[in-house]
Amino acid sequence: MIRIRYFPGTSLLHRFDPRTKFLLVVLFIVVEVAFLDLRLLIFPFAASILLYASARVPWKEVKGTWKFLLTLMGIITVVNLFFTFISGNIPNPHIITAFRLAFLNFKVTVEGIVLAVGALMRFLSLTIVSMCLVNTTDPGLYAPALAKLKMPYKGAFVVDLAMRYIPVYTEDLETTMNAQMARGYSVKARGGFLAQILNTVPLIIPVAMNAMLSIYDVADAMELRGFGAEKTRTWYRSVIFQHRDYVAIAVLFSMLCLAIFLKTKFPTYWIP
Amino acid sequence: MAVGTALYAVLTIPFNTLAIFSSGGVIAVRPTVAIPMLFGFVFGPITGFVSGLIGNILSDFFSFGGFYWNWDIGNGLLGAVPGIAYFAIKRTDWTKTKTLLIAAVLAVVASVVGIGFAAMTDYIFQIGLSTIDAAMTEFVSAAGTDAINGLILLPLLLYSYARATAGRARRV
Repeated sequence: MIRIRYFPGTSLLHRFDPRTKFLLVVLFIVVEVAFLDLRLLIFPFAASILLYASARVPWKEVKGTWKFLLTLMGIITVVNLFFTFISGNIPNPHIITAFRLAFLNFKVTVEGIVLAVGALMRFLSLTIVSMCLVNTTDPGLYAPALAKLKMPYKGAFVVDLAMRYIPVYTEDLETTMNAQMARGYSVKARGGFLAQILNTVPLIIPVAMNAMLSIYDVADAMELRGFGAEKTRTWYRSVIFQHRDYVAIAVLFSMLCLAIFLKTKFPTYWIP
Repeated sequence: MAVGTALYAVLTIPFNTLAIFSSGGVIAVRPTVAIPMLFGFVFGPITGFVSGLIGNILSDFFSFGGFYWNWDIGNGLLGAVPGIAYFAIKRTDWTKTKTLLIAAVLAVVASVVGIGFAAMTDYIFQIGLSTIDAAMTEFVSAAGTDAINGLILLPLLLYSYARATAGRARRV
């Protein structure tokens, strides 16, 4: 099952200010959106793997998550492989093979393979960097970090609370799924679209109802602490930039400049 | 808002693997669109909008590792539109057949508005789509599946929530 949560540690990534890690994620999004050339995408992909490895997140704990995410990305890649040129993004593709299955026409092309691999690397790099942020950042630091970025404190608290609740609801979903499976429930429904929707009802309703009933406890707890009574708010924990953060930001900006330069040199897709 | 956001994000990630094949390509079955719709219906349009917006940002963040601002706003609209009912329908009427039918209609309207916004901005800003036909195909596929999901699941969730909270005196 998926585990999207914080793992305490002492690695460099753990010690960075959350704002530095936000910047890292933003930089990766910009670079991944800008780069189209497969040869360039290799660099952020390799960098993301190195970053994640340096975080020393316990593999046993995250193995299931990665298995799930890789399956998801594998499906998307295969779909991209077959459907990229149906939308006609690149004219005159080099067709390797074309076949008809059921009522759909499939084409495997050189360009399709290159673009699908590029898309896979893009998804993987961004997901790895996202996990670097979540797996190494204490959930209690999101709100103070966002508040320091001038986000209104209620908005910062929404993100903070959501990040805290994600692992809770993930476990709740797993428990509910196991309980329903013990009663004969099957995750994969046989049948079409409607059967798939109806098959989700035994999972969605119990998890959603549990969560929605917990809202009262959260609201009471917040009200008792006077949340929302003042226009501003201070935070119990604070985030302060250290020397390492300034160095990291300088490195990130250098990387951004390099990325802009490379983008001008390799502006579009590379087809071997 | 936070609960809706986390719930939408958490439930959407595993359901991102559900997909069906059609003549228009691959359509993701996202039954969880009913979550921001429910939050909009029960807690108002702002809560619905924020749950859809941030929930979609987080679920995309963890499953595709990207940021698609127009789809995030589109998902926010999915939650905001049913929020009309928050001002018009009394809590005591939530279990009535008429209210459940209104919820189903609002789910369809929300899907049209939300996905319409996302597909049109994809076309206007040329985000992966270059023709109006491609935008229409995307709109029909995504809005159609979301509308059917909402049509079935929003009344079910609303009824369950109304029954589960019946008798609670405050903050509903």
